[in-house]
Amino acid sequence: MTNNIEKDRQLLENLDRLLAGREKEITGPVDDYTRTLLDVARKIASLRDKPSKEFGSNLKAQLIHQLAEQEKKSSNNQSFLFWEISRRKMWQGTIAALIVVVITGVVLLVTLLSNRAG
Amino acid sequence: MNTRDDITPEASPSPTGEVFGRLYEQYLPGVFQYVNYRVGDSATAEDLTSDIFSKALTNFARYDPGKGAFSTWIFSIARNTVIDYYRKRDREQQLRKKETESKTQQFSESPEDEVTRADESRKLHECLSLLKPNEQELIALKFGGEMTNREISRIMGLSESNVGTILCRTMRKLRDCFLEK
Repeated sequence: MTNNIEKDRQLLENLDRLLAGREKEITGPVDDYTRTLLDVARKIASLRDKPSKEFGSNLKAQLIHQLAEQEKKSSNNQSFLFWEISRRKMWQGTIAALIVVVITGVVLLVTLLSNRAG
Repeated sequence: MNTRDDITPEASPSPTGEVFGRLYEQYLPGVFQYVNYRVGDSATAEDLTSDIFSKALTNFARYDPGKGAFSTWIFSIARNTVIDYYRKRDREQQLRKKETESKTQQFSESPEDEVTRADESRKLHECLSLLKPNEQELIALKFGGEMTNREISRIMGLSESNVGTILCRTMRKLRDCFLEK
């Protein structure tokens, strides 16, 4: 049992070395069990396919385009928000000015009428 | 895997673009290899890899480095994308099966004039398909994603020692399968 655990530990360590490209570090007595499993690991690792350069650059271009779209959308949203706020303030200002004008007009009218009456 | 080239600054001057560009260069090979192990077809692997990076870019603002490494995050997206792909494919296959239920299909084996590598690759995918889903996942993360057992344990929600145990068992299964074929 302990022997099996030790063998598995050795296998896992050597597997990490193999996958990290540090195969030279696989030293010492490697028994048949570990050796055959490492052979399988080498075979699996050798069948890895790197993405083609063409695919890599096409995807990069696609992502750059996507990022530009996202940033454009986000910037449009921000300017819309800015416009909403300023439009609201503009309306508030206009209404306040109108109220002031109406009140002033009423006061002037009342003053004028009371002067005439007086 | 460890290249750190940026997306060209003139094309993407934003900080998000620069950071994501570096991560893209670093993780593209691993993510592609992981997906390729899972689906066994490079054209499908390219499509799914595009989806994965597109999803990652869309949600990049939500990624919090404090909560975990980028590798864990991107491979979790990759894992879910592959799961969705298989779900969708299974549904489509079931639909096709219903449509052609009465027909008997005969698939002829293609002539064995492929190069050795293609033959070995086919054997590998046959052997992988005989494994349990979590074992397939583990081999893809280990060999495709080139991840440590600790990283795999975070993605799969297992303990590190459990990952080691399953990995050794799976390697033995693959060895036996390779010997049989």
